Amino acid sequence: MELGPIFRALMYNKSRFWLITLEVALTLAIVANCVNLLLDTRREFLRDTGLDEPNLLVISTTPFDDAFDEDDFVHALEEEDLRRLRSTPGVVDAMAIQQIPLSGGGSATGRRPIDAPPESEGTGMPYFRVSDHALQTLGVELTAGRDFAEGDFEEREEGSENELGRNVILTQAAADALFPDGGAVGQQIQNSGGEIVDVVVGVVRKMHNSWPRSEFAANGEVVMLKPGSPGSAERMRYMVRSEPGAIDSLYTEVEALMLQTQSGRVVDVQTLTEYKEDYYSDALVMIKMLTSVVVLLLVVTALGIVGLTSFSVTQRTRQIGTRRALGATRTDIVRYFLIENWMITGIGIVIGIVLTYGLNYALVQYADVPTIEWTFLIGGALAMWLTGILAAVAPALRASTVAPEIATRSV
Amino acid sequence: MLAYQIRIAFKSLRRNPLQSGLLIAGVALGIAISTSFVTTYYMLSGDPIPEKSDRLFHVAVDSWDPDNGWDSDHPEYAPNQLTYTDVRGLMQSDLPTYQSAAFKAAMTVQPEAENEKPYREIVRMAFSDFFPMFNVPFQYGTGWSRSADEGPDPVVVIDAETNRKLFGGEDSVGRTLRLDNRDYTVVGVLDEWRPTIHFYDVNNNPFEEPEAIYLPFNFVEPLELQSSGNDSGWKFYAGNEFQDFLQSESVWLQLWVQLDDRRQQEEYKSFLDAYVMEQKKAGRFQRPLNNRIYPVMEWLEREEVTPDQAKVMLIIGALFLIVCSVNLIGILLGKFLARAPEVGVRRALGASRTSVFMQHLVECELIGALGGALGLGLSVLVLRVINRWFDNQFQFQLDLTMVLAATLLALAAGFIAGVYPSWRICRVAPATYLKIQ
Amino acid sequence: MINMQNIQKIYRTEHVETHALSGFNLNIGSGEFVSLMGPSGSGKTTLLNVAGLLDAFDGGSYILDGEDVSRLNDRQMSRIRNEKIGFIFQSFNLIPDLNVFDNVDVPLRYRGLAAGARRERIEEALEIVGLTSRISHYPAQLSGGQQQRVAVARAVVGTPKLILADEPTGNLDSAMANEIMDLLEKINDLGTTVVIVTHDPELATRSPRQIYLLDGRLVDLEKDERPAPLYNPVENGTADNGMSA
Ligand SMILES: Nc1ncnc2c1ncn2[C@@H]1O[C@H](COP(=O)(O)OP(=O)(O)OP(=O)(O)O)[C@@H](O)[C@H]1O
Ligand SMILES: [Mg+2]
Repeated sequence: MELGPIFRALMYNKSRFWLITLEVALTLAIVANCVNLLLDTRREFLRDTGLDEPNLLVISTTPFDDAFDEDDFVHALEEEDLRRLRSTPGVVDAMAIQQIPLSGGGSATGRRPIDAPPESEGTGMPYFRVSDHALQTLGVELTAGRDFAEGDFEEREEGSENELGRNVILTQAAADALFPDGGAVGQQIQNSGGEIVDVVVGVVRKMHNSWPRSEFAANGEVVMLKPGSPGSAERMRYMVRSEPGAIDSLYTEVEALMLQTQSGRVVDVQTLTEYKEDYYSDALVMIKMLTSVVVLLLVVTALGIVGLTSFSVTQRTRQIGTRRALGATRTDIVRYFLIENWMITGIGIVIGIVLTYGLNYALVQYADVPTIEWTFLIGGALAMWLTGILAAVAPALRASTVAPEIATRSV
Repeated sequence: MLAYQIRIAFKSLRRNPLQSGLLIAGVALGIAISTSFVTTYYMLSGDPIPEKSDRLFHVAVDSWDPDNGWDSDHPEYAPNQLTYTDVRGLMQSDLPTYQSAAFKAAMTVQPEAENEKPYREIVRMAFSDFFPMFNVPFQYGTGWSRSADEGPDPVVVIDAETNRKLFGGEDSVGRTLRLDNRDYTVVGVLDEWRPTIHFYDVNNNPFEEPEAIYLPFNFVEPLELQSSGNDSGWKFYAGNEFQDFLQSESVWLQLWVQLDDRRQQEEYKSFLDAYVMEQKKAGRFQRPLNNRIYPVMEWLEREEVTPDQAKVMLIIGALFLIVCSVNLIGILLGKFLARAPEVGVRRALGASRTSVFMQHLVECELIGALGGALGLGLSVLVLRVINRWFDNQFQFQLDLTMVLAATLLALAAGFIAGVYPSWRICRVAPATYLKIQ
Repeated sequence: MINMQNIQKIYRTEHVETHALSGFNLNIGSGEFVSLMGPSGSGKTTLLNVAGLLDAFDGGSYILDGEDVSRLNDRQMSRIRNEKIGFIFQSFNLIPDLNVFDNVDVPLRYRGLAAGARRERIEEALEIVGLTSRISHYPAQLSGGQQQRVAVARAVVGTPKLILADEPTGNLDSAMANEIMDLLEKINDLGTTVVIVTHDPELATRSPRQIYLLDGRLVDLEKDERPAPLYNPVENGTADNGMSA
């Protein structure tokens, strides 16, 4: 309605105008960048791991009894442990594994197709040595080839040819890295010296390795599952997949179960989610810190806008009375202050968008943060817009209660 | 005069307690958030051992794959750890003031008491020089002697926490600690020691606590201890025996040396070069000669220890304070200009422009000072919350520098935010407000 | 134009009840020029506030321009103020953030006229008060007399039937005051009813009818001492310079 005069009046009071504008612009820049960062981290944390994450339990046992120095003892115990775990009510399946996915600690090697030229760079290959029932326990989905068969787990004769080679299963990402043209199943892959030759027998859709936060190995999606007995005198680890809802009770039961079988070891039980949260702990803390900053900042800015608008209402009491005397309704007065505020916030938002990109550019240069997405800008702008409106409502309503007879009062 | 102005300023603040409260709370919030974020950054990136960080060096020699460098993004980087063979060779030097190879392993602690369950603990395998080199504080006893390194003698150093857990916190020097079915004699108990950065080994979590237990490095062979940190290899080695691993090209050990002056440093570098040239003759080290010794801070930088998040928090914290200051300017401007008629009268009655300006600036500084004090208190709480969020993995605390910085920051915020409003109010013409309206 | 019966206005504070208007009748005809006089605190401003619908009254009835305004809501009162009444205040009450043009524009904005129509009216109004050359000045850049002339322009721009002025000359010197009175007379000549509060008997004598207030009671001098108006305002009101309502 009266945009022209409102704007001209604003420009007559430049300092108040610029202060709110600047505050809105800065706040938008910070909020949009923080939200960008924290949503990016959240998305990273929540992305599909390919595993049946919520139902997986990790049992880590470390022996101190000298009996564990015998390989046969370890293997026999591993089988016994798995047998007892699998027959526990509430357990879907169980496996032995030597490292824990999503935990930040793992093993990696290198592999390349057997016919690749020797000087070609291989593919960095995180791997897990696993017992049988691995796919069923992890909950990963076989998309090509076959699952491990009984014979795949047998140790090869010491000194025999290709003693260390195995039939392995790759993730799709690993298969794609090694064989970009497809057809990984049935192919032979070897380490850089050619001492170990594995055969790909199957491909699973997706499974994250131990370092999903790292860019290494296609953001954690390259994995090789190698059959064998993962337990050693150093450490024996199991993963247990529970039936939905049974994980809590299993969590408390399995330590006793393990110690009952063999007491010469220390047993540590954690959920896979706990491992993951540990691995992401600094990022999760950052989410909390950024969220608090965003909330505080919006509160501070809202209070600032309330303060400045209130002040401007107080200062303009007489003019409001005059306007009322000249025929403005209460609604007109409320509208005046809201429109004025929208204008200020609006211009602040426009400047803020430029600042947001500037700050994002600086952050990208200085710290490795993602480039901001325009959706966050729109979200941030809306948030600021809303904050501006809400902050202006109370002072605007107060303005509308100024009585018209103020105009006739001598000062 | 100043005392008088401060008194007037106090009165003015008391006239509108709600508004003054908001102003002070605003400054306090800005100070609290920015100081605690800066503290976080400062502790995650600051010098963990300032008294000698420029004399402690991480040793790096390039034993890596002749075909592919250690880090394809940084071809000039040698591997971040050393092989067992090279540690053995380099530890022969008698040039450094102190030197220690080290790595961390996991062992099972078997408490004497029957009802106590055995538990896993991280153990640092190190040489006797480790303790004096890193200024490790002792509560009871000391580290072991150089001769105990050679034995190796069954001696152990434990941290205060372990001493509390196993020996009730009393002087346990001479007592026996059972690890992986072997007995060791306690020779020293550490005092509380928590460098924010685990600078002597940043392979896993660079911010983890120091290890709980320390054993002579040379137990590595008899106990066949593997690293519970990282090991990386590029060359296949045959055999399953522990000796095969020790002789492989796997890098899994850290080597630190203390070199006190330039001459010593130069000599040590020549020693490294000579060692590597010798190894080249034996067919190892086929990459170009690339030996470096990194002082602590350079090493932390190379290993990119400061998390990106901390850098982001630093910037966000600073910007937060700026927003609070802009906010402050706005409210102060409102507060002061509302007083324009009164100031106009004062001006007409003879108050000079300077005195009006100063009076208002003093008021701003008072707000800054009060806000700063409140903010410091608040930042202690904020840091406590942050510590809790990190599961007390860190002990972020204000130190004297930060307290001083925060105080200055608060006064600066008061000043910067106050200059413009004070200037505006001192420019009020004496006549304007004598006329009606 | 104004028809008040037994009009009452009582201010209640914690301790005192002030009968600012203590129940009197007042009739002001269309096209009249009336001066309202009385000692300080006698209720002149109060009467003007009530007459201009700036304030509610507590008793009696008030018919303004043939319309009973005793029970109107805020929106309706605002509309009447906007369309039928023009105000001039002692302290001018120009809006300091707006220039002369925008100040005069204010009442028209609340009427929702098209931009072209507004501009025409504003320019006409400013011409009457002789300030076309100051159209983009801000109030702070004008003298008191000029400011009050802008206020007069603002009061007449909406072609109201009634102009209420509360000591419009109170802050001006006598030359300036006479000028404003000239303007008001000119406007009155065009048919607009004018009620003006003044402390200056000299100025008051320029109006055909004077009303005295004393402690909230009315003393109408016209009836006692002055002859009835010599002319019929409605007949004279068809003017030549475009100010007809
Ligand atoms: N808001 C109010 N609350 C209480 N009493 C009031 C209020 N406004 C006016 N009064 C009282 O009502 C009476 C009439 O006031 P009013 O302003 O109408 O006087 P006035 O004739 O205009 O005087 P002046 O010539 O000084 O302007 C006075 O006694 C005054 O104290
Ligand atoms: Mg009055």
